[in-house]
Amino acid sequence: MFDAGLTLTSLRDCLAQIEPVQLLGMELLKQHSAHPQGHWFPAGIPRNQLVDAVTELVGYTRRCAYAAEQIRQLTSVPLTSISIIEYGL
Amino acid sequence: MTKLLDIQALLLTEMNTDPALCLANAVAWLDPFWDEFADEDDDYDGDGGLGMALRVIRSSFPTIYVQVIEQLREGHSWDDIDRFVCREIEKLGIPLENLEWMGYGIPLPSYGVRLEEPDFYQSHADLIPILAPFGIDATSDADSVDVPECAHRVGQFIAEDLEQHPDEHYRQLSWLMQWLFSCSGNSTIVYVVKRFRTEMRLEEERLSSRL
Repeated sequence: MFDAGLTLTSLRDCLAQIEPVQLLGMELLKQHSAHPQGHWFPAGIPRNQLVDAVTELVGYTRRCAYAAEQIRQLTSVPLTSISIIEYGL
Repeated sequence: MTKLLDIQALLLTEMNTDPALCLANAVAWLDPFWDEFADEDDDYDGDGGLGMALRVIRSSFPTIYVQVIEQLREGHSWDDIDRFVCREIEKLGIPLENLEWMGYGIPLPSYGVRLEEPDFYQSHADLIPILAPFGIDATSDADSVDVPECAHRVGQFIAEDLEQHPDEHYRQLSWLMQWLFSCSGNSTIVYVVKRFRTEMRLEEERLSSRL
């Protein structure tokens, strides 16, 4: 990967440009920001919207868990050009 | 008191402005059990059948899951939730007397064969000569009929070989083998534990042959 011209900085910049995910549940939270007094979550939202939001959220959670598992299995890359002086012996 | 409520409103506004906090808030609101069921291979057995039931409705029946979350937030007891889930699952046409049964999947009438069971041969004496070539002697008085390890595998090979035979009589023989050795793929006539063991053994053999 780093042989193809991608540096740590450019990789970080690339990742930083990814737009935050917009899920229906998050939109519902923003649209119904006027909660019943003292409550943390909105009320009175049609059940079909809640079902769609839950379905999307559960699917997103599953995809994230899968992606994390895939990343966890990547072979580690030794960063020989970086010195961490805190651990210098 | 008003100031406290103002602070809460301020916190909510700020939370919903930040994407990460908004996502966390949405998860806490809509899917509070996400962490309990993060590992899909983990057989959750907490709270008797209720843990399993929550896992199943979360992945397969989101309408019921949403209502469960609503009811929990309204202060309903776990017993209420237990009865509610049973009732809703039954409305879908799946008989469910008790959540304890949920871990066993959709209830089906079972007509599978357990060849080790001596009582089976009392009502199916005509099968004794058919099973004899497989090394299965059902005429002994032992508490359990001895079934050689290879019998299921041989029966499965015969079933597969005859399944597409042009002669109908051979195809019928294939169906008989499929029933006897639980390899039909039809849940109602497969003795599940034996089938599972057979599949596991065949898979192990396939893997070891590759090494």
